[in-house]
Amino acid sequence: MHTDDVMRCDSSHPRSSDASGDRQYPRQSLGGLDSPMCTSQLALLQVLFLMVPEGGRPQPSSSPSEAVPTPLTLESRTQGGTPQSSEGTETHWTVPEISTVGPTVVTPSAPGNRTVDLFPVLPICVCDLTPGACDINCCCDRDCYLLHPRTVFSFCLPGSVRSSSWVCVDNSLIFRSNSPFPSRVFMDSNGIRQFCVHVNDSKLNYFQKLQKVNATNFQALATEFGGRSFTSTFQNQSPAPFYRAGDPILTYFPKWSVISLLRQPAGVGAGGLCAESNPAGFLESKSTTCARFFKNLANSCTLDPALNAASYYNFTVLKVPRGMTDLQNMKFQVPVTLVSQSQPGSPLLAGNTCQNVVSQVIYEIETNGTLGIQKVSVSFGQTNLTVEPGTSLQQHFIMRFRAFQQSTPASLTRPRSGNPGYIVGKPLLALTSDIRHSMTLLQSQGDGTCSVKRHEVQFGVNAISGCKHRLRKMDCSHLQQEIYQTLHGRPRPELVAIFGNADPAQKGEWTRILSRNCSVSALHCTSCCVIPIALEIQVLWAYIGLQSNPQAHVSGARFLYQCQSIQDSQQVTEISLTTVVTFVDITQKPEPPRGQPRMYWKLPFDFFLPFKVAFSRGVDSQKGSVSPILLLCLFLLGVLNLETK
Amino acid sequence: MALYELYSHPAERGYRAGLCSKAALFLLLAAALTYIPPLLVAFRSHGFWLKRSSYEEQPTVHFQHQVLLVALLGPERDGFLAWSTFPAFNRLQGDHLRVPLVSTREEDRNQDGKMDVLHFKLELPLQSTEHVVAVQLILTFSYQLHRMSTFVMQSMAFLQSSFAVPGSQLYVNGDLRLQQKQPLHYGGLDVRYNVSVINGTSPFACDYDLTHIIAAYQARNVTTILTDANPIWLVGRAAEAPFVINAVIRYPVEVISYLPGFWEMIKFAWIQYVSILLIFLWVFERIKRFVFQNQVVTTVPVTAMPQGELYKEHLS
Repeated sequence: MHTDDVMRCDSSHPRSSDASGDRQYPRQSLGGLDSPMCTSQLALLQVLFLMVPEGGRPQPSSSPSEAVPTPLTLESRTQGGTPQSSEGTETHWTVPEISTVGPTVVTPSAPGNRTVDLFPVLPICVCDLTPGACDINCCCDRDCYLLHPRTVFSFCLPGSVRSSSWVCVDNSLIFRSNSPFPSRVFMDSNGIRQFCVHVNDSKLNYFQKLQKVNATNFQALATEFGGRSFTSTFQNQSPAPFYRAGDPILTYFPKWSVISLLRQPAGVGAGGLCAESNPAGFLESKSTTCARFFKNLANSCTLDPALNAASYYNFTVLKVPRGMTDLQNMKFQVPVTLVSQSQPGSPLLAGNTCQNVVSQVIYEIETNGTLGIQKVSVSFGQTNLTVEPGTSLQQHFIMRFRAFQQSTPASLTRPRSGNPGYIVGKPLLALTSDIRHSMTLLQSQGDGTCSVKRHEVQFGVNAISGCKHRLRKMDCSHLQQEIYQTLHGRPRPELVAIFGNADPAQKGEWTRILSRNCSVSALHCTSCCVIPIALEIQVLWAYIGLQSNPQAHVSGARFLYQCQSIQDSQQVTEISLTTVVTFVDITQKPEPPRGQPRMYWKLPFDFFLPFKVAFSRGVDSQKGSVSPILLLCLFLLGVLNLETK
Repeated sequence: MALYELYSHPAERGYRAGLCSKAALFLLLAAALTYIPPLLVAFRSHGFWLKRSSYEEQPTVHFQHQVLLVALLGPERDGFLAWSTFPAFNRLQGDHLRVPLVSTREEDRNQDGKMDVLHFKLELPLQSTEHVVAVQLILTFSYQLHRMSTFVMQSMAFLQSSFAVPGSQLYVNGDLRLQQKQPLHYGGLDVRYNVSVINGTSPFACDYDLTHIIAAYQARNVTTILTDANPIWLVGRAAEAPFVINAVIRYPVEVISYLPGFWEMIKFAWIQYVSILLIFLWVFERIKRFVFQNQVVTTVPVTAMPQGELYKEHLS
């Protein structure tokens, strides 16, 4: 009966049914140790094992594919761990050598002596998903009425048999176990025998620390343990007291009581089509361009609000976002005023043309710090479109911000091209009788003829452009004059700004453009007319000032014309004109500091490279530099030692 | 006080024999076996002579401001527009000539005197009925290398791209990479390919034919190519807007392979030979010592010790 008790306690390990003398145990005995006798036995067991001479007992061994729990597996129950069997595949347990050590305990559990097949019932059967029906491979499903589910099922689903946690090491590392804890030898999937100890520390086996979640710590827990996840982009913020740079500007349509954003449509995506709802940023003066395509212009001419000027000013602008809270109060709102006195016409379909289509919208917004927007005015450019399939329209939207009650409107204060030095890509400033403008190049229209629009010369950017010029019947000198004007633009640039911030009033900040017209005298042809066909603008520029903060300045500029003679008798109707701008950097770079190689030197300036690299790295990280030098020293010492031997 | 051996040196011993003796023959054989096999081992294990080596250099590249553009128009079959910086080519185009606005800027980002990137922008004015579906563009560069041999060539970046839908803009952002079919020399001046890619002085149409230009260029052993696998086409051109080509071409640091010079080859061969020779020297030294100490070949041993040392030995 001694042994019986032991066996009963070890109910977690179902025995295989092959052994004779099967005994089934009542279910309640499976749950745990409830009999005091059992516990006392176990205590005895422990004592016995601790008394084993030399502090150990032979490691249990078993045939491969079988795990061998020692009798002490029953410890698991006494310690409060879950009574479990492992995967359930190891149903045998044989402890042959134990008998030699502790005969009182082990004799009854000799191999095949008594093997118990237990009806594997768990208090909670996780795979029992269909009540009243047998779930396949669910070894704990009571609806199956199977005493030996393994005989019917090919395997047991995880969770349908008792599980336990084992900590394993390679079996070859263990000679013998003197651990008081239950241990087994498993065969893992790779066929390697693993010696495993059953972890019965309840702190390690259970998720115990439950966190109380309430309204106060919910967010704290979510942020502490949460990572990246999908978030709803919707944010409901209370309106800010004032606009900050880059904030979208709020508008209000009193007609529909709708709050919206001031829009600055911009080209988007590969198509460059107008993205209607692109917001304008507070204090961000910029211009956008986008294209519109019309399938049926006759229809959309009058219906499309984007073509109608009224849709760009039939609202009020909120001075500050806080105005959202009190929309009836006109104190927080500014109406959009028209620059021109007369109202721009709305689109009108007249025959085959759609008239008064908005092609350009310019908003001028006056701001006053945190007091917000003080004045908004709008002006329009309008054009006519012919109705045909596939009509397209390019629209320009310009936002200009300036401080409230500034003396000069923003349109007159032309931006600098740098302060003081020129910035690459900014227009090259020219001066003609106290009027500041920028130097320009020819631009051709779609059909190749010269356009009235001209391309601005950008500082530092070489460019070439050209177009076809139609000659009109006129005398030679007029012809020359006209073509000269076409080439250099109107007015003719006389001076060029040395720095990007040149003031027209200060003559010292400008330098005269050297210009050389074609010499006519060289030709001995009376009926010829020498006309210029190309203009090359050469700009010499250099960096001055600190090398770390260089400022570009124009040292000089020259207009160079190339001419061609045409005979009056020839009926030349068209000549092609070319303008070229060339920027030449004449910066004299200072001598590089000593030790720096020049560009074209072929001297062995990398002779001490490894040392240089090692020492320069030492500057970055002090630890890294020590090891290579130390190694080098050791190596040198070693070599010296070898030499002296 | 305990004494330690702080220093020691071997004592020499001489063995005397005739020049035609067995000992002399053995020494001759040993020397031959010491010095020749390492050479054979080093050579037969391949890589004895360094045949190709490489170095890194950022080339000195300059855009030559030569452009040749052909824009193919759709959907008509014969529609194209062309322009170049060569007057003769423009003259040949007749009605197909359309002068674009070209602006370029080369930038030296790190102020080391070498250009790093070219910003190229071309705006081709178009009529509302013209639609660009494909583009062929040639830009020429002068390309120079200085570190090993001074290599000077005129090269090009060829860009051909097409799109099914009429485009409004073509954006290219790529590197101008060096392509070598042949290693360069280790020194000297190399101006084999310092010839213009496009013969701009020629009045003949065939000199501006793209197939001819490409064929002549690809026949070179050293060329440059523009690497941008995926030029970006933007569509949706408004009627009056021009077609824009926007290119950013970088001049990266290249790994250039070259033929090593005489001394470089000898140096690497010497390193290999000596490292194998050391083993043979050690082994044969042992063999020789064994042979002479045990009198395998007959010799007369002579103790070549200085008198003073002997004397000291007696004293101790």
